[in-house]
Amino acid sequence: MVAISAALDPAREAALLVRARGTSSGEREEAFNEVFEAFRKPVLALCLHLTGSRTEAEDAAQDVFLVVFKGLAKFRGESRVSTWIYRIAIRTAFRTKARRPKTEPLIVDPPGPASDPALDHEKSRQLRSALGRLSADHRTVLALFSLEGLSHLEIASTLGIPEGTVWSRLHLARKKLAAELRCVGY
Amino acid sequence: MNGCEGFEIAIEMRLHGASDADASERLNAHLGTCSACRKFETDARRMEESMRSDTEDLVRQVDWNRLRARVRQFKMANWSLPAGLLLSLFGFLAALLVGTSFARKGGLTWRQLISFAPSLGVVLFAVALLIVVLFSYSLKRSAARIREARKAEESSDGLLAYCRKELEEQIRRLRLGWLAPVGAAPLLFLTAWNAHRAQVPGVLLVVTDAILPAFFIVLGLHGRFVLRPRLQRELEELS
Repeated sequence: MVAISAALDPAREAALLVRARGTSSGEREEAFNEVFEAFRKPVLALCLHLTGSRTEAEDAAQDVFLVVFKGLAKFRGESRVSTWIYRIAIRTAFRTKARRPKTEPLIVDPPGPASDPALDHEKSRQLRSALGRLSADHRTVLALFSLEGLSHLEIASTLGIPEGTVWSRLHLARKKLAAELRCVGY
Repeated sequence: MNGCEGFEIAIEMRLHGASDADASERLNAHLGTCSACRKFETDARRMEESMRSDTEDLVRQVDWNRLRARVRQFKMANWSLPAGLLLSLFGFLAALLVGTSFARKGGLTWRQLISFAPSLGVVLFAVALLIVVLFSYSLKRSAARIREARKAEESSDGLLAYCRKELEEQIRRLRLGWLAPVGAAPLLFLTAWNAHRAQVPGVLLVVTDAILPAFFIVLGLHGRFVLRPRLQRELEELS
């Protein structure tokens, strides 16, 4: 299983911000490339959980990195870079999802090769469908916790809620997801 | 709310590495006696693993180079018009210098060249002035649009509304705007024909007589029949 690690360590983030604010365009480009490499997988994973569609997840991820590209040099550092990027990703993913016509069902894109394609495809479809029926808050907290390397404190910071609320929200989201999955025989 | 809710939250905390040794011990003691909580823990682990493996396949398949390139394209697009106009201005001045040089080599004196100024010079000056004015205006507009785009990106629906607005404005401009280059083509041809009578040398004749008017006509028709329908399709996709 390939781990999708979701954050840079604070020292690396600080060095990256110094380069992003540099006067040379080469340094700024380098800083953006580092951000892109570090966050492309978790941002895409987050967008996939929030939109439920591979196409929309790719579109949303593209928009996220466009915003990051334009705003990295002006980022004030009041929060972690990862917190800032995930907040952008959450907003962008929901905005992308909102463009989908209300009458159109949740698009389910088949996953890539797997050991048991038919079974995995069905499980994947059921999971995405169940996630799509949860509220935005519950879907977001489950999606953030599914990213490896993101601590509960960082998730609380990203969502702008206290630490205790993160756990209770996760717990409630888990119960609702389990109930949705039971309905479809997952 | 059942009595196990606290333990269920403790299961979540342990699953994500936020549980200390004491809490973990209390949880283990409870799990030894509560099958519902054991099931909750199994289900929670399974859901987490499913969500992770669901995204790993997608992450492996994405064309990251294409994604990176699209971000750069959007960034560059805002500066293409002022850059294009600046290049046009330089090209125009270069053509003027080359034309003058050929005229001089063809035997025309500076006095004769200057005598053309009332007919040809006014047109050339007007074209140069138009390019400079358009360049300054487009530069100011591009900067304002980038500021507007940045502001739109900060709000929740701003980016979508900004894209729609940009597309609607471009479609509106092209509704009649495509006629401008098509209408300018005959004027260019007439200017060149007038220059014939003033005995302007051959190289400039070829350029202004045929190529420039044809280019302007193609530009206008491209705007009407290719660009405008494409923008309309993009706007429909965003709506």
